[in-house]
Amino acid sequence: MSYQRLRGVSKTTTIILSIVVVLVVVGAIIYMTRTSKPTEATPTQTPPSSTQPPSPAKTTAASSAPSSPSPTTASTAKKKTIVIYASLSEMTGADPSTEFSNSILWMCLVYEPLLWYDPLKDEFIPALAVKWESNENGTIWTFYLRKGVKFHDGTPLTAEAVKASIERTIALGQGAAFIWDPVEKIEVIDDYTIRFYLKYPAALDKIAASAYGAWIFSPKIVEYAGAKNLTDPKVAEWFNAGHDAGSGPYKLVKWDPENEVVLEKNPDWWGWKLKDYPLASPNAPDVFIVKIVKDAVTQERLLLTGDIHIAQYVPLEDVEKLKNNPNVQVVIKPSFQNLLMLINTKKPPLDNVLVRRAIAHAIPYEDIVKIARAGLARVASGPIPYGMWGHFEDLRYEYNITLAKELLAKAGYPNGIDRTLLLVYTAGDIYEKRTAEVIKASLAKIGIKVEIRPMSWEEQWSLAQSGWENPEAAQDLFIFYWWPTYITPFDFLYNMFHSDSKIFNLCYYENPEFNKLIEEAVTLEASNREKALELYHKAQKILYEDVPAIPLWDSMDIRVAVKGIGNLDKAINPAYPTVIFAQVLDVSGLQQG
Amino acid sequence: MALEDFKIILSLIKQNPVSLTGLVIVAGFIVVGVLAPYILPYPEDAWGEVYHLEKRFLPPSLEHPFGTDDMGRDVFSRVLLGARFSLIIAVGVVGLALLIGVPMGLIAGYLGGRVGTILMRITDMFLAFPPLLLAIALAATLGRGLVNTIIALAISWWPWYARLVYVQVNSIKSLPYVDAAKIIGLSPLAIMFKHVLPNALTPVTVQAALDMGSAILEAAGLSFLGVGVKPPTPEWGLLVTEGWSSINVAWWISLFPGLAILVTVLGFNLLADALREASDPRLRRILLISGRV
Repeated sequence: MSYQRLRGVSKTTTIILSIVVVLVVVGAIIYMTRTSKPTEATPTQTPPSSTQPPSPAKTTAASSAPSSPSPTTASTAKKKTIVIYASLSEMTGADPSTEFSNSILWMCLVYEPLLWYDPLKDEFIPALAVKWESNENGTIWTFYLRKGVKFHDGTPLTAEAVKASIERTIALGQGAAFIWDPVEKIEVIDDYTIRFYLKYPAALDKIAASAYGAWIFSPKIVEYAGAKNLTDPKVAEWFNAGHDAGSGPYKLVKWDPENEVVLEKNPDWWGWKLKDYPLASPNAPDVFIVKIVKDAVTQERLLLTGDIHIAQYVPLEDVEKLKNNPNVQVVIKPSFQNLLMLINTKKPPLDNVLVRRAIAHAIPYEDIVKIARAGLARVASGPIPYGMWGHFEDLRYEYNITLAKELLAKAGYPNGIDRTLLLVYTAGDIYEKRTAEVIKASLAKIGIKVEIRPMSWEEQWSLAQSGWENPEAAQDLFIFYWWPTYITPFDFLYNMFHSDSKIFNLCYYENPEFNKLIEEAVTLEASNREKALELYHKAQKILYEDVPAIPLWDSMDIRVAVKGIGNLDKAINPAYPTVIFAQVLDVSGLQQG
Repeated sequence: MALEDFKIILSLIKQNPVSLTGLVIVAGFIVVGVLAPYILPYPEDAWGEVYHLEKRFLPPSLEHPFGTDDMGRDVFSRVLLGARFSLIIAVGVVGLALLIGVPMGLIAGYLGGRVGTILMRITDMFLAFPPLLLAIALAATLGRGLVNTIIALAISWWPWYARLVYVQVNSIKSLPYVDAAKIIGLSPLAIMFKHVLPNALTPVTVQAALDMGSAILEAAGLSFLGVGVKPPTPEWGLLVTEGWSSINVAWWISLFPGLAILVTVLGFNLLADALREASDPRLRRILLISGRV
């Protein structure tokens, strides 16, 4: 008896003990992460008089990166201002010519294009070019460069450097290199004038302001990398080892793409000296740290404890509560990312346009926005997102079950469809998941059964790619995000719906009339905007009738930051998703440490 | 397991409140798992076939004892139905693993020699991988779904049973009664299944009971990582993940399925502990001598 009692008791004790141990460990980890981060981020130049004990930590991001001599070290008596921005995704590459993914988040601060574009005001902000012009039909473009600009290595900016940068991007042909497709020839007129001759008319000003593939960098990289020429893979290696060759307001000083990227102010940047330059603030942070925090709930916690200053994502349900929190600010801006449901137009019964229309009328768009995004999105009207030129308000489908049932009956399916449709979405994306579940529940009401299947992006991708050859084997419905490379309706319409775009046209949609319309519209973008808009409208009307895809919502960007970050609103631009233009921020009111 | 074993187990459980708790929990789990589809307060919510715009994120109340989730569905119904899936997973994984592992270990142990070596090396190959890692890799390759989850877990599980049976059989096959069976001319198959296997099963049974809990836990882990069953199936691990993104406004969505996992796994562990004690020969002798059985 005593023997068993002993064993029994020891078992419970073990359980209790293990729970206690787990709690202690978790507590310790939380405590450590809370206390260690501020010290970690404090530069070693902090004078001992400050409230913080001088940190002996060798890990300080900004000041200890061994390879970068800090030019400001000698002069600073005051503490450096630091802003930490949490990114949900890891950084990808560091090569400005080929990068076509997450890394633009910091590249926009380190590199500069010829122009920036503000899509909400539909106007350009001069960057490396101060003036530009084109001939009547938009086939010859001349850019006049800013004088006195130096790259971070001290090399002056010249037309040769611009030519070399763009030609390297074109020659490598990776990432967003396709944006330069119209370019026939680049000619250097003089040190500060460069001319582009195009194969066909195009809006080269918008292309030059692209968020991807339009960066200008120092031609000396060939030398630094010990390479033969600019396209030598050694150059890419040099970039990806964490070097930068940009001209922007910040320099890359620490490159640890899976954990953090540290940028330090470039005191020689031309923009600090210009009066009234809209993209500069006298109180911009000295150090800007991009920290990878892969979870929205954790980002919110870190923000509330002050361990980060700006969160890229917080759970949308919490936004209302955060708006009432006196210590934080919430900035909501339109975003050019939208969510669509691509329909396999080649697989019966979805090859019948009436069935597709029935589906379009059976989806409760308002409910999706409320459930999936806590109301923080806009019901889509056509595939071009709200706020962008080319968006029209007359392209919404009415949610009308009766109409949907009628359409389905007219198509020959009065009792619903006898096959279960397969809807795929990216596993782990909570917005897509909720959307998928609402669609499943709604289509059931008109007698369409849907199986929803979360898949990894790669699986989903290869399944969808097989659709051009074998539409029967591919998915029926595909929930899909799109956002533009540079700001043109053509980007959306061509990639997702043109029959030549085999990679992204995952509706397998073919319509020569539509193709012709957008091909013509894109050449008129620069020379005849009115006409281009008219054609884009017509093209979208065709999509509205044909329903190769159902646009669901246009996203909104929600950034939450601590109160002391000034000008946050100005630092966000939907043409450059995820970027915080740190040079615009005003951190004079920020409590450090 | 002979009748005598059952007596010992029962008496042990009766005497030990901790084991009794385990038995009650497991019995309750099985009852809920079997009856779940018939006792759901909101069956449509449980199967994830509907959503309720106006009922999202309601805190626990009499109407919704565990609150409602991000789609306005009753969490209590979903957790109840989740018991059924967990039960299927537990029985499926352990059953399938036994089905592969026991014959493998039996044949390898009894025949020995080259066949035994080959079979055991195959087993070792599987044992070389950390089980959860192997299960994740398999689940990711097979794709999501209830059956695939069971297969993935069973494949990473059977080698443990094979080893266990192999060791048992190895010691049993040289016992005199096996020799006797051989001498009277029984076929090897008959000896294996009639005389060796029944005597080798006791530790396997204990291990299997213990593993039921672990199987539920690992399946929940796979779903949590996004390679397990498919939403909107209300599997417990999946329910925990689904609640995570809104944990700051609605803690109940993750908490209750999490508690369900905790309690069930605890129940299985406590029960298995009693089984282990019952199979301990020293303890048995103490009980028999003291005349308590």
